[in-house]
Formats: sequence, C-alpha cells, structure tokens
Amino acid sequence: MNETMNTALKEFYLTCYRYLGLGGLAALALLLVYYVATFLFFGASNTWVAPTLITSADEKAITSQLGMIQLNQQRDTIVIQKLTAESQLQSLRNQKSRAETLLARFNHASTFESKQATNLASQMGTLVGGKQDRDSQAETLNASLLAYEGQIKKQLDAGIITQEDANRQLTANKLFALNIDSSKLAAETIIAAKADLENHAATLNGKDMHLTTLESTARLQELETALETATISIVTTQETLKAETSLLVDVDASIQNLRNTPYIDVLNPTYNGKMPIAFVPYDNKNNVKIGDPIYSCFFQFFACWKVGSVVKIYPQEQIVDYPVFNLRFARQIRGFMVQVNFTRPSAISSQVLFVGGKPVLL
Amino acid sequence: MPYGLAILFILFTVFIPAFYFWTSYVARKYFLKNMEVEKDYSLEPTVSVLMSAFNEGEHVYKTIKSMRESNYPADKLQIVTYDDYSSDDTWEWIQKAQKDFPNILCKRNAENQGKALTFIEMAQASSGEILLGVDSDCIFDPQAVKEMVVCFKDPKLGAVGGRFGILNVNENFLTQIQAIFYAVSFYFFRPIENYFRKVQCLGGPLVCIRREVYFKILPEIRTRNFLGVPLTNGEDRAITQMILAHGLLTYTNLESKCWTSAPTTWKGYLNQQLRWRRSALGQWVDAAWNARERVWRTSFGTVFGSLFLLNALFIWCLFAVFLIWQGGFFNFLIGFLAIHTIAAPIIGWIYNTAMRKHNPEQVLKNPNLAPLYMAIWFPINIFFITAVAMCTLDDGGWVTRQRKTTT
Repeated sequence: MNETMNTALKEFYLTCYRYLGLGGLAALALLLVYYVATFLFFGASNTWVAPTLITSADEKAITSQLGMIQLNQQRDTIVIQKLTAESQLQSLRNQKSRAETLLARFNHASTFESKQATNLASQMGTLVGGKQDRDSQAETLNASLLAYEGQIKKQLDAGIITQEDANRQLTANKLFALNIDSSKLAAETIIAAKADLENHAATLNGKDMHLTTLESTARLQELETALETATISIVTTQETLKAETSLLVDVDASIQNLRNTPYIDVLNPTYNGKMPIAFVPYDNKNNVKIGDPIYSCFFQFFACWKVGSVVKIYPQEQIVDYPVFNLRFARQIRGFMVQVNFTRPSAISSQVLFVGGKPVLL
Repeated sequence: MPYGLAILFILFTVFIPAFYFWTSYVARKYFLKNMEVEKDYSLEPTVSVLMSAFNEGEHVYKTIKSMRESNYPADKLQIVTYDDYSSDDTWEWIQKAQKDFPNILCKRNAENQGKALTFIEMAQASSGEILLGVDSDCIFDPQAVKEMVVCFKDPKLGAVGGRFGILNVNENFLTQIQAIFYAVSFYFFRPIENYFRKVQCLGGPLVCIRREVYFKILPEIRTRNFLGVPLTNGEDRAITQMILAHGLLTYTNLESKCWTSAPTTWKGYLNQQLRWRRSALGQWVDAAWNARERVWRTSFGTVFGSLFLLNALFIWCLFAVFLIWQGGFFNFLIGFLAIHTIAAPIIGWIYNTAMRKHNPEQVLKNPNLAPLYMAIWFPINIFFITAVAMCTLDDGGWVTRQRKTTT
C-alpha cells in the first residue's frame, strides 16, 4: 500500500514538475521573444513618450518656484538700478550741458574782454600821449606864471595894481599850478590803468601777468575739469545702463524659460498641484505636435487605445534615465516635456505611451 | 553597471593570474604541502578498464590500442569493452582489437541500454581490484593508469580522476575555447578541490574507483532517479557524489592524462553542456535534499562542497534575470564583449604560456581570438542552459547516444 502511495505521490510530483518545467520553458521562450521584440521595437520606434505626473511638491517644482522668486527679485533690483542709472545719466548730461554753456560763455567773454582791454589800452595810450603834451605845455605856462609872480609883486610894490588884484592873480597862478599837479597825477593813473589792461589782455592770451585774471582762468580750469568728469561719468553710466539692460534681457529670458517648464505650470491653481506630462526623446521630436492624440497599450505596444492628447510643448531640454530598453550603451536620454490632457487618467501609470497613432496598428 | 564591469575586469586581469600562481607548481611545492596525495609507486593492483562504446567506429580500436600501450603490466590491466548496440562497425573494430591485443574482454549488447547500465554489467564481468572507467573516444598517456593507481595508498581515497585535454584542440574556435575551459577547470578549480580531497566530479573519460567502493554504491547507481524517472546520464558526477556521501575522499591526479574529442558544433556543445548542467543541478538538489542526513553521516565540508560551487550558477542566473528585468542585459553583454576583446589576448597568452610548459599539444593556434567565444557563450551559459536544465531535470537520457532498438 505504501509502495503504491509512494509511486502515486512521485508520479504526482513528477507531473507537477513537468507542468512547472513546461511553464518555465514557455515563460523563458516568451521572455526571450518579448525581450528581443521590445528591444527591436524601441530601437525603431519614434513615437514613444514616457508619461509621468509632477506635483507642486516635487523637488524640481519647489526648486523652480524658488528660482522664479529669486529671478523676480533679481529683476526688480536690476530695474531699480537701471532707473537710477538713467536718472544719473540725465543729471550728468544736464551738468555737462550747463558746464559746456558756461564754458562757451566764459571763452566768449574772455575773448571779448581781451580785445576790449587791448583796444582800451591802445586808446589810453593815445590819451596819455595827448595829455602828456598838454601837461608839458601847462608846465611851460606854469613856469611863465611863476616868472609873472615877480612882476606882480613889483607892480604891487609899485602900486600899479592893487593888493586885491595882486592876490587874485597870485591865487589864479597857484590854482593853475595845482591843476597841473592834478593833471600829472591823472596821467599816471591812466598809465597804470593802461598797464593793468595790457597785463589783463596778455594773461587772457596765455601769459602769466595778471593775478586776478589767472584766478578767473583757474575757475575756467575747474569748469573744464567738471565737464570732463561729467563726460566720463556719462560714458560709465551709459555702459552700466547697457549692462543692466542686457542683464535684464537675460533675466527676462530666464524667467520666460522657467515659465515654459511644467514645474512652474504645476503651481497654477488650475491643476490642483498635480499635472500629467510626458517625456519626449529628441529622436521623436518631429512626431509630436500640440493636439496630437496619445495612445496607451497592453503588452508595451500591442492592443492600444486613445487616452489623451498633447496640450502644450515645453521646449526646454530635460535629461532623464532611460525609461525603456535601449540599444545604446546609455543610461540617460535627452529630450523635452509635453503637457498631456488625459481622458483616461490611469494611463499615467503606463511605462510608455505613443503619440500620433497606434504603434503597430493594433 | 560600471562597478560590475570593473569587478569583471579585475577578475580577469588580477584574480585569475593570481589564482594561477596559487595553483602553480611553486605554490604547491613550497606553500601547500597537502595539495597532492602521497603516492606509492610500488602499488600495482589489478586494474579493469571499463569502456562502453557506441558508434565510435575505428576510434574504439585506437582507444584500446592506446590503453594497451600503457606502461602498466599487461597481465594486471584487463580491458573490458562492450559495444552498446552500435549501428556502425564499432563491434568489428572491438573484435579486431581483441585479436590484436591480450587480456581483452568484449561483448555486444543485444540492445542499446545506455552507458550507465552497460558500465554496471562491465563492472560485474570484470575482475580488477581497481575499476578504471574510460570513454571510448579517448587517447591515453602511457603513464595514465600508473599515475592513478599510485594514489590509492590512502585507504580513505575512494576514487581518483585524471586530467583530460582535447584531441581536436585546433579544429575550430569552439574546440579551442573548450581547451581553455578544460584548462581552467583542471588548473584553477581542481587544485582547490584536491586540497580538501573533495573533487565534486571525476570526469567520465578517466576515473578510477576501488572495486569494493563501486559495488558498495551500486544499489544507489541502479536506483538513480528524478521523481521516479530513471537517470542514465551524468553518472560520473553522480558516482563521485555517492562516494563523497559515503564519507570517502576523491582526488584528481593532474599527472594522469588523456585526450578526448570535444564537440565541434554549437549544437553538439549545447547538448553536452545541457547534460552536464542537469547533472550539476541534480547534484545540488540531491545535496540540498539530503543535507542534514549527509552532514551527520560525513561532514559539513562534504555537503558544503556539493552545494557551494553550484551556487554560482544560481547567482549568475538571478543576476541575468535582474539585468533583463532592469533593462540592462544587452548593455551588460556589450560591456562583457568589450572586456573580453581586451582580455582575450591576455587570457590566450596566459593559457598558451602555461600550455607550452605543461601540455604543448594543447597550445592554441588563435589565442587572441578564441577567448572571445567566451563572451558569446557566457549569456547562453549563465541563463539559458541553467534555466532549461532546471526545467528538464527529468530528462535523464543520454541525448547523444540513444537510438531505437531494432529487433
């Protein structure tokens, strides 16, 4: 009985083992076929995409959000700096304009004054010459009058003239003498004024002969220095402004780029913090357009049905781990993301989806 | 993946040469005194050479002649040759050998009954104190028999194996790579097994067993089965395991040499490897199933030895499944091929250098290219052969020998 039981048990085990073995071999064969077919299929397919769900709590979303805040802050700072630079530039331009005007006037006045001083000095020279002739004649006359005083005294003593007449004539002589002295003094004053004018003109023409004029020239130098400083500052401020403008363009571009990533879009309240996307490798780029239908399949690429469509393309490059078998000796793949509107949300869990049509028409 | 490749690279470039040194003559002579058994060259027991022939044609005559030219005394060397119902002229060549050489006992089976059963009948018909099992497609070194029997000084030694090379070593790339596999087996793995006197498989082409030991395990040989299905293949490994399971020791004398014909086609090679893999898996299943009882009866080391090396098969198999699952199997194969492309000339150079010194007839014509075959063979070996063998353990037949019995 035991022998029969043992035999029956062994036969049962053997049958089980043979079925298991057969199943194992069949599984092995299927696995091999599946593996090779999958490899070949994905080696040739250019419509596959890899779906995934991003949430507002994703590390990249948080990083992008922080990046956006930082970029906006940076943008605000740049805008303020740019406005300040623009104001500074305007102010410097005004300063420069004023300095230029003043400098032109100064130069004009200087030229005018130089000419005027030269003319005046020349006229004074003529005047001094005439005056000196007249003073010389007056001297001669005065000498005659002094000689005449003796005759007056003799006439007085002689009683030819009265005392009163004598006093009157002597006083007139003394007044004449005083006038001659005054005239001499005036001539000297005119000569000094002429010399002053000549020195003034010479200093205006570049010689160092008139201190007061030099002081005025020093003020001119200050004005010129201020003008040069303003010119340099204008150039510097213009460069700063240019750099700020360029930086602003870059920051704006970065902000725009960041806005064109799903990690910022997911923060939009419309998506409730969850947004389905799909990775598209560059090899499949030409087969993906907005509005294209998306298919999901049983058995990787057989028995497919429509599960949604492409609603937005995010052109920024993404590098992800290879989501499917690949014939390349590569662990990562480059591509971009598209936003998908799923009519069957469960398709998000598929390993791969296909864009445009069913991959093998089934 | 890069770490895996790095490990393989280190394995090929550092450990294998280091391992070669470990098993080299210098290491054995100066560091590992216990590596070789104590030999007694005065021993000259009677030996019965048991050879089952099937469709070997003229080669069976060459094999008998080769054995007869052994420097072992002819009166102490009985040759028992049975034709397992060949369909060619094997039987005629056996009869010719019987006429040409002394002390030969031969018979033709009435039907094809397989190597294992024929071997039992030959053993029963023989008279030698030592039974020497050989394959009918081998050529033997004149010292082969002597070198084996001198190892039996140790009474605990139940069986001794020899080393075999390849007769058709340079026939094609496949035979060349098999020569490397044989060398790896005998020079790298056998010395370790020898050190513990627990050689796990004494190969069929050349194996000596004490008569009493053989008849002690004969009931087990007769009843070999897998879930009731009789097993007739892989008896060399099975017999070795039975001997070990009885607490006896096994040893391979690398000085005892013979040369066997290697499969020249992928189909033949796959069949052979599948048979061997089934036998190896059978050993593992048997050892695992009877582990507790066997530890008590023999030792932990015996059971550990039966299980340990084969674990590598499962690890590789699981690794392959993991790689397929993870999608990196092809990448792994590309990396493996790349490593072999670099390592092939190194392996070939090491092999040829060693062979020029020890076995000049095993030197490869294409040492730079032949090892590349390993890269092709590796994925088939680690995954498919093991997996198919695992699923077909009940296929106990000798797939290359059976034919329909005619009445």
